[in-house]
Amino acid sequence: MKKFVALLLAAMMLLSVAAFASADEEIKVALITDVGTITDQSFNQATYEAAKEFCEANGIGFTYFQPATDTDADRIAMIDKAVDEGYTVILMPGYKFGPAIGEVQDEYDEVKFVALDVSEGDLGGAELGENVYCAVYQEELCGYMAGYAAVKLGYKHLGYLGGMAVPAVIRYGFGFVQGCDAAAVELGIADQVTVEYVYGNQFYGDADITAYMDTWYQSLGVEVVFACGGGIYTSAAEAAQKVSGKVIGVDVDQAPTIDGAYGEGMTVTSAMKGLGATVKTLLAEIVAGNFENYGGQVATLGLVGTDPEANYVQIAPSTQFADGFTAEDYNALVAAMFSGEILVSNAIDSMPITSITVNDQGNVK
Amino acid sequence: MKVGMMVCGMLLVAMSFFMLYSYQPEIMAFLVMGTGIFMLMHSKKERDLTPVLKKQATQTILASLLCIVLGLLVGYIVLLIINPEGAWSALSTIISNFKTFSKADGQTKNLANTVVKTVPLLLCGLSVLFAYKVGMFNIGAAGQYVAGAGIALFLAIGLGVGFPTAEQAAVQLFGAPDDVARVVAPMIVEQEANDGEGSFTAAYNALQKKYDAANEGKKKKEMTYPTARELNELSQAVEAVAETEYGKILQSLDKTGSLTPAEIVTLYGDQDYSRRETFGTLFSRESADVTVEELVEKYGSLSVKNSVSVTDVLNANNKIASGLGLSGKLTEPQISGGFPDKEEKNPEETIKWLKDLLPIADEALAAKEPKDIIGVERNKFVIAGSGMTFAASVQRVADLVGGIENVTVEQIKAIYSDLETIETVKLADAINEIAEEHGGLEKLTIGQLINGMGIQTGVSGGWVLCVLGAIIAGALLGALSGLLKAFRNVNEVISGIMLNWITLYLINMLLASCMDQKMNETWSLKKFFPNALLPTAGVDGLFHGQSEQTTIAIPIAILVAVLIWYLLTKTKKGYELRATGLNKDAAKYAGMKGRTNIITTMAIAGALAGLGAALFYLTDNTKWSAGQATVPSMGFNGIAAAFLGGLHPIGAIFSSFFIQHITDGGSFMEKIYPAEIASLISSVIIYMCAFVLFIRQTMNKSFSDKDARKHAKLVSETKGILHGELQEDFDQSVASAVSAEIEKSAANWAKKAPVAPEPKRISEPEAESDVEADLLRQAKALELEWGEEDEEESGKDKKKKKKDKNRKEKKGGSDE
Amino acid sequence: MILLLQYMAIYTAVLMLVALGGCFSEHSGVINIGLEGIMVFGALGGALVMRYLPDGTSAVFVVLTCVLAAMAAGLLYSLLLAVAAVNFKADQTLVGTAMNLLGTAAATVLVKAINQAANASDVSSTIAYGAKRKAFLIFSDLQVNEESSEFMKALKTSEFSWLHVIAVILLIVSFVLLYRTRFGLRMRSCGEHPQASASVGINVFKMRYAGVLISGALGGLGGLTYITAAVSEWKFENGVAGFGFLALAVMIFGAWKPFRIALAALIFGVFRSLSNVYKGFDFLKNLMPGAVYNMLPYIISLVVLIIFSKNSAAPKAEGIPYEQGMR
Repeated sequence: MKKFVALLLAAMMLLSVAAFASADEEIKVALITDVGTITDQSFNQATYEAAKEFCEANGIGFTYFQPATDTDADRIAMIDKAVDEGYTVILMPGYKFGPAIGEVQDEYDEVKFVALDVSEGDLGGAELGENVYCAVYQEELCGYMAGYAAVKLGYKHLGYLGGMAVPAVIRYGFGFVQGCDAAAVELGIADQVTVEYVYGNQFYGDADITAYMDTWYQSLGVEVVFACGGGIYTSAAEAAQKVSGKVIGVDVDQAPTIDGAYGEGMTVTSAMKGLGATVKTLLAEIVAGNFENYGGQVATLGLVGTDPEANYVQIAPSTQFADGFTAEDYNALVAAMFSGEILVSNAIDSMPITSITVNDQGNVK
Repeated sequence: MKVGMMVCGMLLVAMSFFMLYSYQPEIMAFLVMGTGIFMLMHSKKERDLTPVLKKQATQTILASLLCIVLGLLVGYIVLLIINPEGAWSALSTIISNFKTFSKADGQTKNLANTVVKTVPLLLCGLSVLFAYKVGMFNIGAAGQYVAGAGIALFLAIGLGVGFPTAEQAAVQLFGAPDDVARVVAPMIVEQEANDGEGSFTAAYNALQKKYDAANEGKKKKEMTYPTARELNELSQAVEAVAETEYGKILQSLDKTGSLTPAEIVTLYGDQDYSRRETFGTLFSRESADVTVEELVEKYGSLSVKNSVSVTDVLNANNKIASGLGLSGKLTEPQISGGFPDKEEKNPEETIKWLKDLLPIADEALAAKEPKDIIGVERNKFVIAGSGMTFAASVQRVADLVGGIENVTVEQIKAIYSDLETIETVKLADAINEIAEEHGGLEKLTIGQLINGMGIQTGVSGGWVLCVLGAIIAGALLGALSGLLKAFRNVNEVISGIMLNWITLYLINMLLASCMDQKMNETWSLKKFFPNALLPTAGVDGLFHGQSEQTTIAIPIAILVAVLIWYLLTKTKKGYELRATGLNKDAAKYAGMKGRTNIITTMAIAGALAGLGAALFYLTDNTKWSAGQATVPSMGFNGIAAAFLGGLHPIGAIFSSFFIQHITDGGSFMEKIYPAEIASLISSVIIYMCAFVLFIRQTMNKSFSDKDARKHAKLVSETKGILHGELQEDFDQSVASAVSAEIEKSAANWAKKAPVAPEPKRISEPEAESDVEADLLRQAKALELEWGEEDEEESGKDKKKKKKDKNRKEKKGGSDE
Repeated sequence: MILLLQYMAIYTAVLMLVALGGCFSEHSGVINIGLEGIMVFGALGGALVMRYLPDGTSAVFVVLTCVLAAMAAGLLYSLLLAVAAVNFKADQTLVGTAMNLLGTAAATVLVKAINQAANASDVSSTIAYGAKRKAFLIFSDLQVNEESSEFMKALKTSEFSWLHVIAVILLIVSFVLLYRTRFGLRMRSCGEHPQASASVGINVFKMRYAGVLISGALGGLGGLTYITAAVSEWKFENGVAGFGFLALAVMIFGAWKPFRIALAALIFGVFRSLSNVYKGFDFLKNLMPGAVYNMLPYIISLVVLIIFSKNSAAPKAEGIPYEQGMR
């Protein structure tokens, strides 16, 4: 009996020590969407899924908050709530968080903020605190790669269907245009290549967008459309299916999704950015206690080397490489971009000037 | 005693609210409130609550409360179905909203947030309510809301009413107190003399040239002015100057050597050094007897705010090099030379390094065909992530070649073919020029300086104009709907829906020029258009200063609600409007002008919605996003707020707060449940509201039943009493009473005493003797006379009555 | 051209169906503003059935079951209005507004719960019905090969759906029902003067129920037509993007008469589809800026209304709860 009690006491002491020890490093992760839902098939969803996977695998508490309205005040209110409930790591995807960061970073200097797709300009002149890490992706690079590949593969009439005209989407689009331009100039067919350019103003597909795409594919003769806006690809794919047209995916390798639902071989390539990978890497680093290597920075994530798979921006391995553009050509392209031989502008205030024809059609609605 | 108790009761209730507000334990507060209410009721001296309950107001309030409870119950059941665990905590989160924060500050801040969002909902609710009372369903409130928001923002941003005034602009640009012209102008003059180039000069020159060229030959009305963005860049450039050259500025003053840090701060204001420190705090760390030289030495080389990283530089110079047609890439030493660490960079160093590219640049410029540079390379002159204006990028090129004087006009023309002439004007000279116009540097006021620099300024208190504009816009739109209904019988529902969409597209087109391209929404009012912001005027003190968006909008909204209530219930016009709503034809026949009333009503409803939009957007809580594809739902939520409040303006205040409260509460909910639960609960509550009529009828029916039962009980009791008595006393009293009665009447008849006035129909009694017959005849004769007199009299009476009636009618007629 | 026609057919069919539904309800004396909520629920019903049907079922079966499911779902949802307005004499405008708000919220919650039950990490509000949508398209089985004319090829990929045909059939049925049968006459009388109808022995309650339930069924079918148009999945948190209100407008525009409603829906459909496909016609591209095309349906409707509304009148007793014995 005595022995048993002694064992019990010892066990309790151990447990309490363990609890005490772990209480020190209690990491709880909260994701705050910019205003969209976690099912928007865009950066909110990507961040949510990556974070959820990581946290479940490592037994870390995880939740998300969605602001009631699209205002800074509500986003800050969500941040307040998350901190109030004891969350120590806050993930904030989307450029809309720029102004909010400036206001909360000092107040909650113990909390670690990870802001994705927030560039320096979005911060509005505030200086970044040590507890904030911002990451922007050079979407214009993978957009460039996709456009370059498409023209090299022989497509002459292309289209770009953006979701809403937010900076990341615009960078994808302008990069795409520059890529098409570069390839066309290289092949000497700049006068034969046309790019139709429009924003759907929403991140899902519906009859209006499909009608628009039908016009492109059937009346204008567009061959491939870069559908860059969450669920809006459904409209492009629907329209493409009718004329055996092609589609270019975005953010992740969409070939399985699109080809699976609409027909084999529809996806020429996908312009990918490693949002999920970044989230997981960063969370791992935080758990390992290495956040100070990242804090206070606005990291521009693009190319890190000549190995395409290791870069933050790339085109999908499932790209339909062919004679016009082989896998080796892709490697060469990446190397040239990394060394600085090829430059892609990331300005978003006006359409890049090109030798090919670009028809900017504004918004569908 | 009664009055005393009532007063005590009211005081207790008021105190309980105060306790809730200042975070005392809630249980105490509710106890106090309960006691207060009990005392209030007791003071009525009547335990029976029925009269209170019969009042329409009480019924409506109770019915609304019942709806709310039922709605919450349904929501709870749904939560249970989805996931039983945590359902109760989710529901309580929704109900408590801001109370879920653990700290008082957090609670106040979120309460403030909710209140700010209640204001537009309340006003939209009032808009719908007002129109509904007059018999029209103002579904166009959403469009009127859009119109109000659009016009308010356009006035503030597009027309620049919200721009800082000259004084405010000066403070923004130079960060110094009021008579800055006298103090700062010589500083800049001096500094320019010492150091010919600075980014401020460059930025200012470029801006000046751009707008001079654009305004060439135009009338004052058509002239364009620097945009907010350019102004911002200018101010950033000045900050750069001010910070790097702070020491020099200090030195250029006469009073140097004898200024204490505190005096310096007073003179130049407590400028922000970085986000965490101002000059004041920096200097406060110095000892009191530090000399200015020591300060200069320590703070003289303050660096630029915007740090530049190596990657940026890499990208930038690669682009520049490529843009200039350089064949190879820049060498590593060229790039990294001169940058010891990756963070802070001095602008002078940057320029110096860029200058080292000079030989290469010259070669390149000379070799390339100008046209090729224009056509193909132009977009590559953009520096990483900054979106520099065309003019600024011109300056960048000039920097490359060592100053704009070193570039030939032909070179610039070749690269940027739309520049006509290039003239450099040093800022120092510009300021001197402006000063001369106004009588010398000593007399130069800040307003004159700013205007002379061509910077557009706004109007102090410009928000008034914006709000008025919004009201008028909403009113016009509403009046249009009303006009169509009054004159062409177009149903206001459909015209409202059509106008909603048309207005949305038109406002999108209008605000296209007011958009911040980067954020894809309108410019932040707080940063660039401070004169368009609604003043806080102490209202934020109510919220412990936790939110700067609590403005006078809140008291204004409440005041408007009270005004609407007064208008509808206490004024003649309100009565007319309600009468038109209840029965248009009757009102018309009574002389009320139906058409005018309809148009007036819709105009007022539209004005209310427009006002709501202005009071919301001008707090800078939310911005108008570019290419808004759907009509904001605020206009439709107003319908819910109006009905939940029992269609009473004061009730609308509480109902709109409640709706906003649970909507915000829903966003704090645990995410096991979809976030849409909150809107599900609020829509169920509104659904229940529709049953208010039924609830009230049931209540009334139960009351009238109760009354009827009471009445019946009384009657039957009385009957029973009567019956009982009769039954008991029948044998005894009836017979004697009846016979006594008969005897009495017989005796009366024998005496011929007048029993009861029976004027005309006296049946002839039969004479039993001559004497009697004689008497009878005489009596008859007398009666006849009387009868005649009566008739005459009655005739006179009748005439009199008729006259009276006529007089009354005439009076009545003049009344009408 | 085919593009313009097919999208015109889509929008016209949707608006027509829902507006007809509203028309029935209003003729029986109950204002039905909740069309948007009914559309969402009908769409939900049809989508769920489509999703759970096994892949190889015959097209006819798919069409029939989905149509019936959509109508049933819409009908059930409209019970909310029926019970509230007829039995409890609730305020009909308010009930309609509440139903709109409730529809989207409830549908989203339902879909999310279903999705999550099927797959714990799927928290989306999307229902994907994929290839079964093809069952609706009339011409998807057309045999075309290389030599077929442009017209045939275009037809094969067009969006003309059996639902559009059903819509036209229902239009004719509605007209006949309302104006050529006793049932329709009785229903209309309940909307004009319920007390008089009651005095003749018509059961006003039953008629009003019928009116609302029919509107539910038609509205639900309209919802299904909308979401299956041109996409293979639908995200229910978007509701039906304001189409319910448009249908309300079309109903008033058509002065509560079936054929005029059809005409109004046609006008709307033409301009709405024009705003999406005008880029394909060169002369239209240069005629007006894009924003004007978006506004065109509404401006035209407003103009037509201004000209033709002088004598339109709603059923006299609509919106007033019926009380037995009231005079």
